[in-house]
Amino acid sequence: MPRSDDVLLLGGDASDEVSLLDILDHVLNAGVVVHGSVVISLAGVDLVYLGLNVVLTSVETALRHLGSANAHRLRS
Amino acid sequence: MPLLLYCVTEDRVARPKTAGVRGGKVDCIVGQGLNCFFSTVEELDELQASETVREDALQFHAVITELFSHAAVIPFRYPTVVESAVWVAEFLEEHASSYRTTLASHRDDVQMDVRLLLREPHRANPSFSGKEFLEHRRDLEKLLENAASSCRQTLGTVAVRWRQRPTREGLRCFALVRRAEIRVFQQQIQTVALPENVKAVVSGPWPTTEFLHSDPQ
Repeated sequence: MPRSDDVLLLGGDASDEVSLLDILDHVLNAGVVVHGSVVISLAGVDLVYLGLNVVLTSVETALRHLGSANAHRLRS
Repeated sequence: MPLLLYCVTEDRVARPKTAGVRGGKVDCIVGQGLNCFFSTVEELDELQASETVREDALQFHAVITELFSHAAVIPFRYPTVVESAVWVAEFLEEHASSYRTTLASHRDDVQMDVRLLLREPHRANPSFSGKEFLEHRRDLEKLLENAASSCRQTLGTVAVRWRQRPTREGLRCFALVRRAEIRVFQQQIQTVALPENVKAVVSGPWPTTEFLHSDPQ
């Protein structure tokens, strides 16, 4: 018999901090990566990107520690 | 002028109403039976501003979400900036065949993510011998594998395909699901009986980025 806090459904609302992390994780880590010399090199953006990745590596830690008492939501 | 790329879709997909990053108009380049959506970037320095990068990334996501709500998309990773429309046209020509095939095959699909996480994080006990440490780690991996198996078994054919990979915190799983079965997936995943020390965090629907290359598991 499943426990009540076994499964947490994220609603995809960016105002929810955990969903926000999940969204940013997808935006920054999933999708086509373009390689090639014609791509404009944005050293500054690269630095920002790396900075965000450092933050995002903790996303699963945040999810694991998330309180689940009122966290069950179903995307409507 | 540099272009910020959002995604590629089939060419029947209309331009989104959602504004692009920094309010830019989202336009598309049509070619090879595909649309590539973009907005122009006037000041490259603007994308570097750390105080707005989160909002920019969310706006990027909003554009993708609108397009993905009614069509298959192949998103670019944010921020992908290229120098011109000519570059995009050449890029589409190079990848046209595989992208058309992928988009057609995933027209009715979404990806649902299931993160299987240990409630108590794995901590190396200082008193463990090397052998005990490896055995403990193997036991935790087995626990997560069993949890993934329970998910797959419960979901049955709702998960058309499944992929998983270990992460530092647990096991990250990806299910390919028909658009029409998202609600069924969400209902069924909540009935999974997980091992004592495991919880699941489910999100989606997402574009099917984990299934863009076809080697089903």
